Amino acid sequence: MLRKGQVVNALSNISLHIEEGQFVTITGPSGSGKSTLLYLLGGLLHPSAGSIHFKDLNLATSSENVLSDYRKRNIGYVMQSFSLVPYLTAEENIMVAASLLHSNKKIQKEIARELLTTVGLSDRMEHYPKELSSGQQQRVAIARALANSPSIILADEPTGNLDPALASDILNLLSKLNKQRGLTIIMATHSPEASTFGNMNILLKEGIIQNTSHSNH
Amino acid sequence: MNLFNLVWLELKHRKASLVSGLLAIILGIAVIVGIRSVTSFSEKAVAIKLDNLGANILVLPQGASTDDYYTADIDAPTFPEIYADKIVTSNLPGVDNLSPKLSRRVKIGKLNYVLTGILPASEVASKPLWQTSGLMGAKLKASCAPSDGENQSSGLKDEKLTRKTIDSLGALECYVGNIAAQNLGAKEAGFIQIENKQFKVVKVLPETGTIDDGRIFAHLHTVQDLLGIKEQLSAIEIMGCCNAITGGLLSKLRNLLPDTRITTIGQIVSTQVETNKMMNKISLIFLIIILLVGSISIANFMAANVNERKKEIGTYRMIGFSRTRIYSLLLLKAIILGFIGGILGYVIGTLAGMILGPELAGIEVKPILVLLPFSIILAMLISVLGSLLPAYYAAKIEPYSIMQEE
Repeated sequence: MLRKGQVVNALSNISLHIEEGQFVTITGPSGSGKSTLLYLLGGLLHPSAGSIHFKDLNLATSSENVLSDYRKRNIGYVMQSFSLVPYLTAEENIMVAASLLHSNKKIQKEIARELLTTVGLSDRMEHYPKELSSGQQQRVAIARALANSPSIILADEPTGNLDPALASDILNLLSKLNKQRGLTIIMATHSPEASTFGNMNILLKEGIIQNTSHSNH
Repeated sequence: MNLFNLVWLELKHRKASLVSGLLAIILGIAVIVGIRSVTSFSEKAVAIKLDNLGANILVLPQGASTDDYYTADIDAPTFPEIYADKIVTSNLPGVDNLSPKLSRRVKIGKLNYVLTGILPASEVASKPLWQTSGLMGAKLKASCAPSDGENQSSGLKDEKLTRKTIDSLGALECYVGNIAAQNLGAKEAGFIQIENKQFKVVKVLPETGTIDDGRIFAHLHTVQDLLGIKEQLSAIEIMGCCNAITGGLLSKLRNLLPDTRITTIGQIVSTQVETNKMMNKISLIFLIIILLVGSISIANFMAANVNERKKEIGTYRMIGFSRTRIYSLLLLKAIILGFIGGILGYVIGTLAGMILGPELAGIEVKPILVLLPFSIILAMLISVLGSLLPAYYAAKIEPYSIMQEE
């Protein structure tokens, strides 16, 4: 990558194949390239070399518009900082994401209500982010990530801002979505406990995959 | 949820920021509307006042000078009276009124006086200084409005409506200028002898401070007979609308009467034209300043807004908003701001004009509805122009760089 005139080797020699429906955890120390890998998989960054394939689409050579469309139809993001829009209610935050595929406001509302019920927040629909706890905000963020019925959820340290009990709740929710909906989840995490939720774990160090392990979760 | 809802919810959420963003647009539009309202009514007031000064176009015989017209020399050239009919029947726009005249110097007693033949009704229409003297006649309507000709809607009191014209001047009757009356010892209802005819003095005109004070006015056809210059005129005075004059009335008259000399009574016309030009220039200068200041202010506001919303915009990009959609989001906000600012600016500017107009300029100002769409469009233009760069910058925001900044 070229950042501010300097060449940064955020990732190198990455060769990875992720099957549909897998729960992949990416672990490693800070600066090891976990988030960068997620950005590449989400089409938010172009690799300086190599290719990234999603079905028939090569993200490395796709235009900005194609990548926006790819994210809109296939990707749901869950971030450490929740990234909810502060002036929108929980329901409206989800409706914004749903609006990219459904212009009908009624359908958007139905999707939002159903998803908030799925994440256990049916009684918080009209609440603004600041009126919700951290755990609740992350649940709204997960519901928003599901608004476009994605096939992949990219989660960047989703439990990083949560206490252990809430973190466990969120991990269980992601695991449930993986199992019940067959969603592919790719999660970057510092937490050794979180990494046990995946059925595939990738250990990154200085941008290089050190180890890939599989489990039966 | 669509882009409009999203913009609206954001505006509602950031009310304080909305007010500061709108302030520049509102004030800018208010200043333009206020100035335009006052100048528009002021122009009309000035036009009517200037109109009251009298005729502003002279049709003279080819080769005659303006001096000939004033001195009325015995051998001053003339042209056919039918030329007046030609102007009337041509229906040229901007010709408010005309007054055919024949003037010659005549000796009465030991002194020379200018005897001027006039057609009463039209003469008075172009000589407002007479009309304040309470003469009999029909009412006239001023049509020389500076921009749109709608004096009725201006709310201005047109002095001409209360003026009275001379519509009954007998063949052997005359009006005598103030100084001429003193020299002749003429009094109202008395008689004076001109050449071989006895004229009854209908009225001694009040002092005007002009050359008319030394004149004697009689019926045009009597004067033509008396001087032996039948169906001839020495001049036609025309009261032309100042806008029409600048818009080519003179050249149209020249085409109509090619063997005459068409000239303007310079001081009056130039005052009218210069006044209008000055008003327009002031409006234009303000328009440019407001456009610049407003755009810069909005650009500043939008840039700050984009900076404040970097994370939010990054999130939108992450969930699949395209760059075009982000760009549209910001420009839609600019359009909505412009719309609100335009309406509020119009209302405030109009109210300011209505309150300050009578106080500062001594004129009554009423709302000019046509300025409302103009205000809205201008405000939107200012807002969109100022937002182009910040919106472009917002569309370029890379979500990963925003997330890394956290």
